Amino acid sequence: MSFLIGMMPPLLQGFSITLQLIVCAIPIGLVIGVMVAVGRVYGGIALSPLAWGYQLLFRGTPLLLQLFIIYYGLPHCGIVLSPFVSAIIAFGLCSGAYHSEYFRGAILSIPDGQMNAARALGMSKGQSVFSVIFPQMLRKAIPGCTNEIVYLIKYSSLAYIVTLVDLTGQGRLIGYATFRFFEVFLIVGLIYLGMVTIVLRLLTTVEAKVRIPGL
Amino acid sequence: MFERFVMPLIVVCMLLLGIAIPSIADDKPLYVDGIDAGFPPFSYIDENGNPDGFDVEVLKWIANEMGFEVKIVPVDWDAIIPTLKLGTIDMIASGMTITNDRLQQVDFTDPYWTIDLAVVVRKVTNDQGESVPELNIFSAVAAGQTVGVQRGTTSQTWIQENLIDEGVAVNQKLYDSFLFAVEDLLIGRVNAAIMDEPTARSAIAGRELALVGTINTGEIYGYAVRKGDVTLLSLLNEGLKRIKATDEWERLVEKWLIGS
Amino acid sequence: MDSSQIIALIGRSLPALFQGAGITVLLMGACLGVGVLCGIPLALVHVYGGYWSRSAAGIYDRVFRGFPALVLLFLFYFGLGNISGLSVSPFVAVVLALGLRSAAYQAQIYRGGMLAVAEGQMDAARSLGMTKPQAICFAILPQALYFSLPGLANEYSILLKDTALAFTVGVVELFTKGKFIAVQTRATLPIYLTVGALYLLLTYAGIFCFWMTERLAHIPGLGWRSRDTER
Repeated sequence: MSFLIGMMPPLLQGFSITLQLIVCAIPIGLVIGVMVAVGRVYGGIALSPLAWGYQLLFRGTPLLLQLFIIYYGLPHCGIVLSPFVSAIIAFGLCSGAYHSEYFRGAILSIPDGQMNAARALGMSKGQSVFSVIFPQMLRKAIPGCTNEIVYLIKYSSLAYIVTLVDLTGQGRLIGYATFRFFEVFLIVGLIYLGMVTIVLRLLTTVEAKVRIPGL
Repeated sequence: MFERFVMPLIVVCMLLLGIAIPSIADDKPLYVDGIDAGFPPFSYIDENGNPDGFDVEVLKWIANEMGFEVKIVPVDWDAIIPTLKLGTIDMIASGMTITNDRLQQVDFTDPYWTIDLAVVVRKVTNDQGESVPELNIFSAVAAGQTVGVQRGTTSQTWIQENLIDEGVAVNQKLYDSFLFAVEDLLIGRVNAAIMDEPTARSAIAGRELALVGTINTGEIYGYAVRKGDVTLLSLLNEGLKRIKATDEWERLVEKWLIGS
Repeated sequence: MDSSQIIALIGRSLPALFQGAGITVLLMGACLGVGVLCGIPLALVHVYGGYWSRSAAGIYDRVFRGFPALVLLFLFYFGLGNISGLSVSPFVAVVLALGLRSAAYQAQIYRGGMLAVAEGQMDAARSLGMTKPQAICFAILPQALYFSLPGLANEYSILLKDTALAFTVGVVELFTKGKFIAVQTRATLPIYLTVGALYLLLTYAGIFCFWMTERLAHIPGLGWRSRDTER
């Protein structure tokens, strides 16, 4: 029992790092996701292939590799980022690629008539996308994006690669020192499960609250 | 239902367990050695994926002399003692310092080498156009400095016990391998790195880095085996005794450990 | 280093990288296998099970989808050794951890596939005299598995990337091989970019295989080639 209590301070320290990482990376991922989805659907000959290429790259390679390239590889090109910034950029870019697929699917599921009607009313393409497509796209993509946010929470455990000792990192240090891996990682896992459950509940409530009747 | 799902599941489980059962050597006993993949000159994995280094060559000689087969596998360094305890590896021959903490977990052979810790910093060009170290040994470990070390090493413990616990607030950054700490030193994210001296010399070779001083810890290296594994321990101790009495020892020390 | 030196370096490291890719593929196959073998029964329990079995499946689901892959790896490799004295080889630990985790995700995919099968199918099968298990095996599952193929292709690519974590418990696969080479040759970017290219190759080769399976297993009357005339 005292062992479990003794674990808590370092674990909480790690937990705070995990929280900071998640809170910063989620918005970055969502923004990138929207931009890439819009680029893919409305981008035309120039932007659409670029967006497609971005998705290909960031969904086809491991996050671990992306972290390594951003942290240890970019400096060879002159870009040096702090561990924290490297981590949230890597998480954001990777997450953004997945979000963009959900947003893209949501855009494609909106009947063409909506866009036509908006244009017929005299709105420019930008206005139509912003006022008509976006509200629907955001709502329709919530289930998929919720899924991806859950993935991000769990994959934040890779931060130890760039010297950030997060919740999992603290768990490893305790495990290596005490060899009591089962207890430590059970607790660590349950904390992640708790975070995931809270986020799921939150986002499901949000989805219900913003639902457009008839959609 | 049973035939379609449960039977295949049982068969697959049996096949998987088959992979888990270690291969039984016909005549010579096989021991698995765990090494740090990035710890030159003592143990490392070269560009072609083969293990090499002082400890690797010595161990191969001992294995040949004492009549056993050895398989060398890379292991994440901070997980290496738990991996030894689990049984995936049988020994650790990888520049491992004998410490009291470690003695509680494993048994060590007789010492075979002694080292000190070294502090490495970047080189900068001064007003005269010469390439000089950026910091001296005192400013390298002063309060507020960012220092990189490998997780699970005596360097990490030294900083913790002699600096952080004594109130000198250095910012310690932990890396999977000291080679990454050196990378970050070159990149500029840490201002100093502390590691075993032979490895420090290997790290600064060909790079804009300087060794600004040593910390006389007088550490001794030994091979580690599981507690109570007297057979392997005596094999290794006898092997070490024999190789030290030969010219091969001098040759290997000359090749790997003397000079940079 | 100029470009010809870099290309030569990449060329020299390809054999070792291919070796690593081989281990990755082996891991992938074993994990997918465990995922399929455990995922299908799990999905059946989710859809057709009684209260207690569904609750048990629910707990399995929460643990294996809620715990990070890294945490599961440690639990199966070090944790198992802690509590039972039973120690598995690193390879088996990875296969169990990632495979059982994949099973939880695959169960959701198969469940979606089963629910997508038209309602009338079960009634029709029962009215032909099949028992419920027979109806599930011969009428529902084939269609459900066909519908699950896109989701499975997605799961395959996720699993492939998760294998990069294997070195934390001692299995040397493609990413780790790349790491060793990059660290020795100090040519960080070229090597990691090559590793990335190899992962892209493996991902899309696998997805192509799934796509081919979709075409070969196509059930006439369903899906993209013809309109569904079920009422």
